Amino acid sequence: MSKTIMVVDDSSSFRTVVKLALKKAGYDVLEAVDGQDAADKLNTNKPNLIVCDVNMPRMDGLSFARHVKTSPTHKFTPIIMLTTESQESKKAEGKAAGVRAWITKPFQPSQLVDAVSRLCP
Amino acid sequence: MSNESLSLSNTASDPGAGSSSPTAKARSLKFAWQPFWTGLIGASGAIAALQLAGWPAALVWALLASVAAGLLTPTARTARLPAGPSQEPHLRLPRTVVPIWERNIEAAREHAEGSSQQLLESFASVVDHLDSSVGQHASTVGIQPGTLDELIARHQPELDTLLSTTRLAVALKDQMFDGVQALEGTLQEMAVLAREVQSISRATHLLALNASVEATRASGSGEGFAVVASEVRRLAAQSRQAGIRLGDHVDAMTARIHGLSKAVRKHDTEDDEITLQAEENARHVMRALLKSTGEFVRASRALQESSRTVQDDLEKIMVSLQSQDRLSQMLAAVTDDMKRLGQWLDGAHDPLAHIPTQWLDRLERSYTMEEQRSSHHNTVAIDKQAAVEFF
Repeated sequence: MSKTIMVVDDSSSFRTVVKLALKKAGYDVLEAVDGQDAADKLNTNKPNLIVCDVNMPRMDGLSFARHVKTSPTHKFTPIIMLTTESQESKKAEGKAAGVRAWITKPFQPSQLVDAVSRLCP
Repeated sequence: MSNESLSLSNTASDPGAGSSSPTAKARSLKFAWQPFWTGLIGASGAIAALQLAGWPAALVWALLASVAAGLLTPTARTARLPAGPSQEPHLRLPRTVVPIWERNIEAAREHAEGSSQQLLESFASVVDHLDSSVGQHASTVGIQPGTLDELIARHQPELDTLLSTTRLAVALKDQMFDGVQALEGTLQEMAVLAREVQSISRATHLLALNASVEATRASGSGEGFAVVASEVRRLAAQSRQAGIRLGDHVDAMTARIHGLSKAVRKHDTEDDEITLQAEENARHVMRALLKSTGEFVRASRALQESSRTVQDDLEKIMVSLQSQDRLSQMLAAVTDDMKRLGQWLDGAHDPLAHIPTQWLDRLERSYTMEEQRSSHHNTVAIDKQAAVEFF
């Protein structure tokens, strides 16, 4: 049974790129348009891993990560930040929020797949 | 001294005055009173100069004081400029044009995003087709055709099945040949028997003829003997006829069987050739199959190699396709700032509007990419490769 990855990004074209990379690697993909949408979808879904952008409307990625870590059902779900942000201060915020990996855009699909397989064996 | 610098109430009722921050009011007040103080000092100095050095000195002092007051007036005027520039004629153009620019940039961004989305969907379809095509042929790459002998040895059971019918036909024919030969032997014995019957009947006929002659010599007492002799002679003739007919049938059957045996014997020498020919045909078929299989395997390997190259290219394309997202973010930062400028030009309050450096700082804080910061400061961006950092 293939694993499910939740992809959270307000850019539909970017979600398509990520979905393409993950589906090629054999994963199922669940999409969300921002942090709030992702939080709502977590009420009825249990992904094996979350790939999330930082800068999004309604709820940004770091707030969403903190929200996930407070959920008894999802607090152990690994989160990978996939973002254009590269500043160390942001990365530190992510680490404090419980994020497991930080990938800066543009990303190599093989890098993303390797990171996902490493955190979600 | 300028009277307008004293009219603080006019400043408050000026429709163009829009600044309501305490700092701006304090600054405005400071600049408004500055010419007054300068004028007062100038007047005091002129009076003192008049008393001490006469009217030329006083006149010079008064002139200097006026110049000083006049120099300060533009500052005062500037301090009382309204914060909202909506009524300023020279700002009417940007107030009208900036929102149009913002909408055009936003429309261009949405159009590019839509086109990029369509391109991505088509690209995803191509990738799916490629994956399924290559996946179907992946299993054939493992075939190792080897040499012909290895292939034949590997598929000997199948070949045996193919040749078994031929071999069975040959075996049945051999059995039939053996039967024919046995039958030929029996017919030869029957021919001998038929000749013996004929011989016996001839002898019997002669004996009966002699008996008739003796019966005639015996005249009266030999009549019964003559009858017997006559019957014997008749039976001998019948058996001789039967023997002749039997001999004819046996000869006919012998001739047919002999012909059949001859034919079977003739084809018997071809059986080995037929078997060899069947085996050679099988080898020929296997050879052709091996050649075709080898070509197919080579083509599959070439396809898989091409597929690897295509996969590498696909990965590069997917990196390039991410540029749309980056473009959107860069344009969004610009349009957001243009919106803020447009709102301020329309009269909205924005404390940073009078401090360009702080306005730009706010814009810079909205950036997420190094390219934005580099272009902001007009420096060269360092091209960083994507990195994965694990915590």
